Amino acid sequence: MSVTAQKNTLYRRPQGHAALVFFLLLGVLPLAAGLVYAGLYSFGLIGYLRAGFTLQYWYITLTSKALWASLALSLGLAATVSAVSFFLALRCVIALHPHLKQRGVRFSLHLPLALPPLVAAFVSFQWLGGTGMLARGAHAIGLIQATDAFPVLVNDPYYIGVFVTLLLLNFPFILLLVLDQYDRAGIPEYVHLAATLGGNLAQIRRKVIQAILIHRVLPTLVLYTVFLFGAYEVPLLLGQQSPAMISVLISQKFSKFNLADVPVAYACAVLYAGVLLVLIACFWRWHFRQSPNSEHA
Amino acid sequence: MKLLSVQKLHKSFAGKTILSSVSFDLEAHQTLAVLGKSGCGKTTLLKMIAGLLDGSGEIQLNGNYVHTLPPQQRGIVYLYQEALLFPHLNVFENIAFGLRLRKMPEPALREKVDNMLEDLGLTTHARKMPTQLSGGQKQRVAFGRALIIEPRLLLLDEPFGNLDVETRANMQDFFKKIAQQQQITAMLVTHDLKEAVRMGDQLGYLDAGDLHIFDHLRDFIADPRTGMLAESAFWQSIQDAV
Repeated sequence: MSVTAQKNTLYRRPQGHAALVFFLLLGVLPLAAGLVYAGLYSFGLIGYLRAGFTLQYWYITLTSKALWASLALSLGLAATVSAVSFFLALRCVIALHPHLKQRGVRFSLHLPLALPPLVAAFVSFQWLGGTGMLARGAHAIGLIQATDAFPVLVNDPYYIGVFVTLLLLNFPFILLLVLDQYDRAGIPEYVHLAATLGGNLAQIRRKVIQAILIHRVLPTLVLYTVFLFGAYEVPLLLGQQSPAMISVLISQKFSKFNLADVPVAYACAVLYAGVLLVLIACFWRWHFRQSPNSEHA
Repeated sequence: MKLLSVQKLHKSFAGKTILSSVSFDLEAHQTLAVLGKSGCGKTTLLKMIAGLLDGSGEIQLNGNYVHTLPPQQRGIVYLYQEALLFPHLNVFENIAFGLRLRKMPEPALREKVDNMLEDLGLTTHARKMPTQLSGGQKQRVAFGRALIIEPRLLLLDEPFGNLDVETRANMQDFFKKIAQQQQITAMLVTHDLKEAVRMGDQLGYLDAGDLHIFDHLRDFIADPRTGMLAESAFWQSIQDAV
C-alpha cells in the first residue's frame, strides 16, 4: 500500500470526519456566523435601525479618515513590534545561545508569558507615566526639575508606551520561538558548512543564521502580527483616543450612545476582518511560492 | 604530487583520546577512503582537517601549513552526511552560495552555475526549492555547491549514509565520474566496506585513534580489522550453500 493510500485511509476513518465536523462547528461556524451577522447589520438588514438594504453605513465607514488612520496605525505598530521583537530575539540567540539553553534560564523565559496584557499595561503606566517610577527617579537624581517635565510616554501621540509594553509582552514569546527553531534547524552544522565554503562571520550571520531563521519563523511571526493587529487592553489603557488602534476604535463605536454608530462599528469590524484575510491570503500565496512542500507551509 | 600532509594529529575529549598522533599523506587528484567503526574518530579527523575542531598536530596543504588558519581560509570543504541545503534558497542559489560569498560578478556567476547544473544533470531543477528534491538530487546539489568554489580538498563525512541502496550506488558512480572529470582530491570516511573499496584510490582504517593507510588493496583485504575477509567468507558460504 502506498503512503498516499495509507494517508487517505487514515483520513477516511469516521473519527476523521467527526473531528472535521467538530472543527467546523467550533472553529469556523461561530466566526462565519459572526461575520455574516456583522455584514447584515452593516447593510441595515438587521438590528434596531433596520430599514432595508442601505450602503450609507459603509459609505460612512469607507470615507472615515479615522478608520483608515486606525488601520494603518494598528498594522504599522503590530508589524514594528513583531519585527523588533524578532531581531532582538535573533541577536540574543546568536550571542547567548549556550546560556539560553540552560534549563533554569529557559524556564524563566516562560514566566513573562503568564503576565496578562492588562496587568502589563498597568505596570507600564506605573513606570512610564508622568508621575511614574522613571519620572520620580529622574527627578530624584536631578535630571528633571519637576516630574511633569518627564517626556510623555503614555497616551502619547507616538504610541511609545504601547510599543514598549507590547514589545515586553511579545519578546519572550518570540525569543522562545527563535531559540526553538535555532535548535531544530541544525544551525551549527550550517554555520560550519558556510565557514568551509568561505563565509566570514558577518556573512554567516546574515546569509545563513538570519536567513534560515527568518524562513522558518516567518509564518508564525505573521500570525503573531495578526494577533497584535487586534491588541486591545494595552492600547486602551496606554494609547490615544484618536487615532486609536482598530479594536479600540470599533469598541468606541459600539459603546457610543448614538445607535447609528452601531452599524458603522459592524462595518468597521467586517472591514477589519477583510483586511486581515486579504493580508493572510497574500502572505500564504507568497510563502507557498517560496517554499512549496515546506513543513512550515 | 603530495597535496595533503597530516602530521601527529591528536585530539582528546574529556580525558579520552580520540585521535592519537595520526599522520598520513594524500596525493593530488586521489580519493582516500577511511573505514572505521562508529565513534572511532572519523568525523573528528575530518573536522580537524577542515578547521572546525581544535587539536594538536600539523596540517599542510600544497606544502603550506594550514592548521593555524580559520576554516574560511583553508580552501577545504567539509560535506556532512545530510545534504544541508539552505532551505530558503532554490537549487541555483544553493549552488551559487559560495560564489556569492566571494562577490563574483553576476554574468560569470550565472555561466558557472549553469555549467555546474548541466554537469550535475540538474538544469531542469534549477528553480526548485530543496523540499521539492529527492535525496539523491539533494546530494548532487550539495556536491555542486562544494565543487563550484574549486576547493583544494573535499572532505566527505559518510555523504551517502542517508540514501537508499540504489541511489547510494548511483551517487557513488556519480562521484567517481565527477572526481575524475574535475580532478578532485578528496577524503571520505565511511563505515560501509563496499563504499570504501569502490570510491577510494587509497584505503585507510581508523581504529583506537590510530589511522593505518594500506599500500595495496590486498593488504586491506588481508587485515582482519577491515572485515573484508569475513564479508568475503560470508558471501562465499552463501554461494556454496546454493
